[in-house]
Amino acid sequence: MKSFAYFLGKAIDYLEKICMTGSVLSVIFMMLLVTADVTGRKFFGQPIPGSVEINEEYLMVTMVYLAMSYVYIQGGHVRVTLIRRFLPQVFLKVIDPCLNALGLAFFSLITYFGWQKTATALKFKETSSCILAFPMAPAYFLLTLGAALLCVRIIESIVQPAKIKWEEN
Amino acid sequence: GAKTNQQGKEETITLKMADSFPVNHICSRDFAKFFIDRVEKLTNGKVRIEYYPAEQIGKLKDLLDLTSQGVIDIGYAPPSFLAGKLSLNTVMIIPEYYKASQGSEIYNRLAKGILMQEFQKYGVRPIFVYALPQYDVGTVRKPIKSPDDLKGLKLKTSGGLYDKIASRYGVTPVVVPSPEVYEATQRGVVEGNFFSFISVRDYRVNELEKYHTFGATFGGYPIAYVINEKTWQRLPADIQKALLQAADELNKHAGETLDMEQEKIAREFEQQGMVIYRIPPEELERWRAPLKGLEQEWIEEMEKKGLPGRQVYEEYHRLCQEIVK
Amino acid sequence: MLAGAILVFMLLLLFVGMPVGFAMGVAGTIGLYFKGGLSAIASILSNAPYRSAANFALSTVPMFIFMAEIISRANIVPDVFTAAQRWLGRTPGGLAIATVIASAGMGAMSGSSTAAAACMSSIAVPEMRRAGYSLEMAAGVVTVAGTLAIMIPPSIPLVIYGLVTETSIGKLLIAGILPGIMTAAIYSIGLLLWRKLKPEVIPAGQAYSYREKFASLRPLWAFLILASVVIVTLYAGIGTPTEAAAIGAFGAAAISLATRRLDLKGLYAAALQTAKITTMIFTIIIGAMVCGYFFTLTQATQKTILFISSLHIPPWFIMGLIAVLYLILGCIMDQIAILLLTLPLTFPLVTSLGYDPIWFGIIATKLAEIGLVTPPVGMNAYVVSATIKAPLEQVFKGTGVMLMFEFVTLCLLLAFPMIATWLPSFMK
Ligand code: NA
Ligand code: NA
Repeated sequence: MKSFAYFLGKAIDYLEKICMTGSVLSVIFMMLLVTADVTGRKFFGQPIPGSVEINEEYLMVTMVYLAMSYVYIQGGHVRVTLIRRFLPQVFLKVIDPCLNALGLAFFSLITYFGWQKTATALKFKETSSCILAFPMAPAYFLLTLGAALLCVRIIESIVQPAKIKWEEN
Repeated sequence: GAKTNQQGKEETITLKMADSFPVNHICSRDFAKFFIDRVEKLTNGKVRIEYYPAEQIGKLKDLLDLTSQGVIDIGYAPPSFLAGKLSLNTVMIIPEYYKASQGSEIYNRLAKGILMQEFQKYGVRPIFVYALPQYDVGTVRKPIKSPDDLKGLKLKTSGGLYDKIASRYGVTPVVVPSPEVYEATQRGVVEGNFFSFISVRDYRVNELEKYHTFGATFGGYPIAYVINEKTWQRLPADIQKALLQAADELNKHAGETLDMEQEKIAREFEQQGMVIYRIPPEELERWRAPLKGLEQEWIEEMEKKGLPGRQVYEEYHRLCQEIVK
Repeated sequence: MLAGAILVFMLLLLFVGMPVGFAMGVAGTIGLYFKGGLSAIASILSNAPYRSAANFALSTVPMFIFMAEIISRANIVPDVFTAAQRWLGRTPGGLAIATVIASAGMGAMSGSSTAAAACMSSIAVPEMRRAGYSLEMAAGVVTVAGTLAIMIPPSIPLVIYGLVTETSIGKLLIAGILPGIMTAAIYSIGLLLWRKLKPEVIPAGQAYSYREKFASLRPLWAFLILASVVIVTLYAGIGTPTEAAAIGAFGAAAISLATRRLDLKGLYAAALQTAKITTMIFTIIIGAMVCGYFFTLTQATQKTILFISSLHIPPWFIMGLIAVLYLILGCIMDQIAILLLTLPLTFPLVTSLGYDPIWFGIIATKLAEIGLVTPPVGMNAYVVSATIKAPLEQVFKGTGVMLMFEFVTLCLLLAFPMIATWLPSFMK
């Protein structure tokens, strides 16, 4: 049983790494795509079709959502600690899991509705409105995946609060 | 959903309606208000519409989803921006009419006829529809007096089918997000814009464009407001009838008003120094020549998706023949 | 009532230390439940999370951050600051003033304050720290000076104002120039005065010989090429501000790789940092969006404005109340959402009192600027805090000083509308 938990943990770490790489590549690809689009348009009269939509409907979304759990576990999300410092430890021990549970509920909802959106897009073969008309379901799916991973990490941080290394401290 | 409050015997129904137009836009200040007022009047105040314009409740592209999920009862579903969902509705973009009154009548009959099925897929039905006049082209430096003048220009388009139309004239289509249209035109990122006269002023590009065509057909702009199907089924028959009557009245009102408005705006621009080239009717064929085969392309694209493209186009074409004289 | 309760609840969540984006999202969702039940939650949460990220105009944020990350890793930035330091020499607070001027320059390239603040903080804060500035001071300067991006054209908020109120966008953009320059000047003067009061937070200047001054210019070429690439892209009509940001990042990467100041590994590290900061910013944007929809649904804002307009009080007092309202909204909502929500009501009210529409555009933008840096919700402060990894409260503490200067500017603008309306008066 212990080994199952171990492998599950490893699998999640691995998946998160892949997602984070996806997010980083989105940054680089966005830079290249926009530069190529503008250069093509200005100097060759030939822009890259659908580049605005690829940026908007895919790259922005993958950049943000695929990195969410990594940023969370690294303690990168901004929070106010001024008042926390004056609150008694006992109180924080009680309140922190509650805060995490609320956060978990919020992102579980995002995951659930993201999944529904993916399913609907698949069912109706929803495509982008741009000239390339690429399918939208993968974009919604990647959002769902990112949000789901974040949920897993939040659960982890309820069980093991020390796992998050808050950046500001 | 529709909320009903029991107040003695008087029963009022409140419907939430949302769109993306700024409050002073003709589509909200005139048309949406017209519909709201007519509904209230025709139902003797039994139906009250709570109105949320200007993307207050959701972004343009999400309003259809918001309506089908029932958070709002009536929402604006712009087929041009939802070509991936309301694909068949984009038939209205294919240039076969010019005036808003013609487009509105055509769309009214299509939406409540052959296109109904596409709306029903998403759990909604069209409640009122109309169409803006076709896109013309406005340019900053180069006057456009024949279709050949467009060749090689970088112009703002609205993506999708509009891009295809632009490409047929040898235009380099540029997609610019709406908050950036003005500055893109100002700095020369685009040399002009494809807009209907109604939208030119929305984006304030009339401050920058010196030349404009009038009467060209570079794509129609259908506007559909949809109502959640469950909300609709829950409404009593007499209320449904009243809503439909208000919708038909609005369809006529919007088309006629837009035609007049377009003429008014064009004259206003002329007074401000814009040079407008009014395309004489005998030249129209030459302007449309590059578009030959566009409908075939559209049909094939739809059929590839498994949609009845041919049937829808043929119905559209028939209505255009009947209504445009 | 409900709006107030949810607002208080959100503040409680923030104060006990919930991440900002999470707190806004949770409070907004609970509010939505009480306002419209499960269906309201369903619809907002199935659309807003996607749509708030899928926004091409906002891609300027990651692209400017990426550019900043590349040039600070490629050691292009220290050259610039060494030069600034030597040339400003004896002037105390010279580096902070140089940062203000650089932010104004950044404002001429970026239409988004978030992007400018993120970019400037990763560039300027380490340099100011190295020169002996306190963390609060350094953070405060970049946070507040970053807001210049929305006053100096290009500007997303001014364009939105023009679109919503049918005011000439051309005139609005021109109108922003003078107040923008004035704001930068007041920051600079303020910093000099502040040094007199609190010498410990801003280090003394140091004199340099002319030889040293000119020697410091030599390594600047890489930066100058890069700056010209962005400026030319923008002002020669090659690309929009959004596109210029990506081209700037590309230029930075190309120069850094070509001159071996950076290897591919370094480039990847810059992209990784960019992805992290972007995600953190957008987590807040997503939360703010959800919260914003809730506040819209309660119609609390609209009711307040209608109430204000029904009061029989002098016009300047109404103007003051509107200013206060904007400052409060700036604490809970996204700037663009605020403009879209309030302008349809405040604009007719303000112009009916006889105020100039262009001037009000500048005031609304100024108020939006202030909203970006005031606690508890101040986007620029979050961005800086995340970028330089400093506690949020220290950032807010630093902005406190700068805010005094900001209020001076606001009062000047309120008292002398000419500052805003003079330049556009030359336009036809
Ligand atoms: Na700017
Ligand atoms: Na604020």
